[in-house]
Amino acid sequence: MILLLTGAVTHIWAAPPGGSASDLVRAAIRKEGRIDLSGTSETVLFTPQGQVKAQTRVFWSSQGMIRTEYLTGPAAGRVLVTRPLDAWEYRPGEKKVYLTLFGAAADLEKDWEMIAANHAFEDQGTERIAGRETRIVNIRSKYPGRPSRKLWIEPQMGVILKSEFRDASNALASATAFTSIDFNGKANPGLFSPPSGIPVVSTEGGQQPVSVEELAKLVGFPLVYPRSLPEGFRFQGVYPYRCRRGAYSAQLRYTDGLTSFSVFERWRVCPKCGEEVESGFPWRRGKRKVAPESCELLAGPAGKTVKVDKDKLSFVVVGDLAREELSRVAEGLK
Amino acid sequence: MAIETLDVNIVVRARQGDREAFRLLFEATKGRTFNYMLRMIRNVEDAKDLTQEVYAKAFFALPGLRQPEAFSGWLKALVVNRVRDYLRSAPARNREVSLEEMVETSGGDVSALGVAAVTPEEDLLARERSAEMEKAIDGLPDIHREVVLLHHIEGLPVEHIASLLRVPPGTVKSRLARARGELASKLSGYTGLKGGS
Amino acid sequence: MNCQGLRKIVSESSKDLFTMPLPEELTRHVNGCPACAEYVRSLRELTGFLDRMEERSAPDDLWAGVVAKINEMEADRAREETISLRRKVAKRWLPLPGFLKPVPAWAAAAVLLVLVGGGVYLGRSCSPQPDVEPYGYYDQHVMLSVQDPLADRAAAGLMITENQARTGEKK
Repeated sequence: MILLLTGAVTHIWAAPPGGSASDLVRAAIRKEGRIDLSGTSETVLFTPQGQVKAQTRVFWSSQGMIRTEYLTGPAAGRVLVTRPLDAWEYRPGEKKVYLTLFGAAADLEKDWEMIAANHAFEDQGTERIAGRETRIVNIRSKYPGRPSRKLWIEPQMGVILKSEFRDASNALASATAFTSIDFNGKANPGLFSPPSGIPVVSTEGGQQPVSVEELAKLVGFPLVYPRSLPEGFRFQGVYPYRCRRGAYSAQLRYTDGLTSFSVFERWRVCPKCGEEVESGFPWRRGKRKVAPESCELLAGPAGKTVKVDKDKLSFVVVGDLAREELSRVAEGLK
Repeated sequence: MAIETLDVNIVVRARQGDREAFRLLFEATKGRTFNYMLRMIRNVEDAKDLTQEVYAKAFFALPGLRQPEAFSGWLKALVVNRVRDYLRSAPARNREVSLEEMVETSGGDVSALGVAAVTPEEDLLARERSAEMEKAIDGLPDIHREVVLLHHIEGLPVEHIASLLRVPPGTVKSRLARARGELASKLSGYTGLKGGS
Repeated sequence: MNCQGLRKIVSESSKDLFTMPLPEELTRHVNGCPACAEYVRSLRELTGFLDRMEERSAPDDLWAGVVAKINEMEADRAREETISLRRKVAKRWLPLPGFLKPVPAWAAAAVLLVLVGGGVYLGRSCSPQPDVEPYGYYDQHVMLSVQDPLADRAAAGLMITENQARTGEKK
């Protein structure tokens, strides 16, 4: 009897490897790109047009860098690298690297406070991924109608071996899983720098992290803040955005710790698209205006982009929230 | 961090268009470059613009640099030549830097002007002396100020300066002598130097 | 060694002369000439002042300006290349000076057709192309999202690729 009781108590009180679900997730966040590993993975994107798949090769460096090489699928040949202060994407078709600056490095403790405040964590069993035992944790927002994610976390190393992302309507949006993983060896540091001889285009026009005042000067108007935010979301920061023709927009970013949305603000009549450019027959060289509607800044998946105009400004809200929530944010800008 | 301590690989990467690598080179050299620009041009905004322009040009010209270990001297040549072009065209009245501006760009601390003060009286004397020194250097003709800065501040030997300015070493020496003589006569109250040679 | 000789050597010398003991020839003269001794001492002090002068700190926003200028120069170069390429194409189509040959009517009609057709083609190729932004708002939003905790970075790259493909199809 005593033995049975002891066994029951031990079984009940024995903590699973990695601690509670939230502890495990917290440890996994700390480990992201902070240990050396290499491997291969498969990614699937679920779009209204169908599934888009890719096999990738992945390298992590303990310096906080992650490199993803797309081996198959529509992104074959592309490389995406995230570093503590920026991310860059190499597009072989254009022979260019696009570099985006983050501003400050992540503050994991502050991020965790927000994540824990806005989300619930639930253990959902175990499964073997890439030959390793993992614990499955489902993370849902405390607010209805928000994206959620499921993570398969290897508890010994604290690494996420598989993840699924569901959108605001609970439809599966993407899934990525390691198919092989190796924790031995260090990746060549050169892998995390842009390839040599390739021009680097800064999506922010090369502007370093700017203050709100500096950004307002850059775009030429005072920034407009949404009158209301979806619950749990907080202002994360401002970023300049520079289109190919040199026009600046302001990007305001908001996050609930895991999900983010952006508000892009610019002049409704774009100062660059309204410019006159040389065109026409060579012997009758003249100037013509570039039609503003041909500017493609707005391209995005249906349902993830909402645009409103107010007076001389245009606002574009982009994110993974439900369209109604994006629209409410947009209305609050008018 | 001095450029000499930078890995030559960083220059190689920057030469290939790696902006992050170029930024490291910039961070290692910006202090001296801006310092030289400001002391030569004597206008903070113009010195800032010109510094930015030189680095931007350096970024595009870098692929032409065959020897990465020569980066430091190569950059210096770009800087010196750009300053000379500027001085030939900019009107002298724009080129005034007040002591307050000098202090501001030194981080607000007069002791950064090269003065180690002990007592309030010594501090005051040191400040006055430094201010006079700055004024005296600023008052030198451009060609004299140039050799004083390159030799005494940048630490370049006479032969190197001669090759940079494309003049014989003897010309550099005589400009240095004249500059010292002028500084000496302006500062005779502080150094006790009677001036002239 | 006389005073004039010493002053010429000393005033023209490298600053290293003042951080080390003087060469013997100069020392001998200085020891016997108070005026030159004072001259050398003062130059040494002046050199000391110059050597101690601190570097002015560069403004914090210098790098931002450098990158902005690099981007500006990059855009200018791209524009110049486009204009230069258009001029090269145009030159091939312009009639050569003095090129006037009597041709039969049908040959003349053929030449006219080619000219008109070429002109239409040239007009189209010279008119401003629709401005296809390779990196729009959505791409920028996704790229910044890869810094978020638990972001699926592999999926992010696919999203950007898909968005680009969708934009291309619309054109």
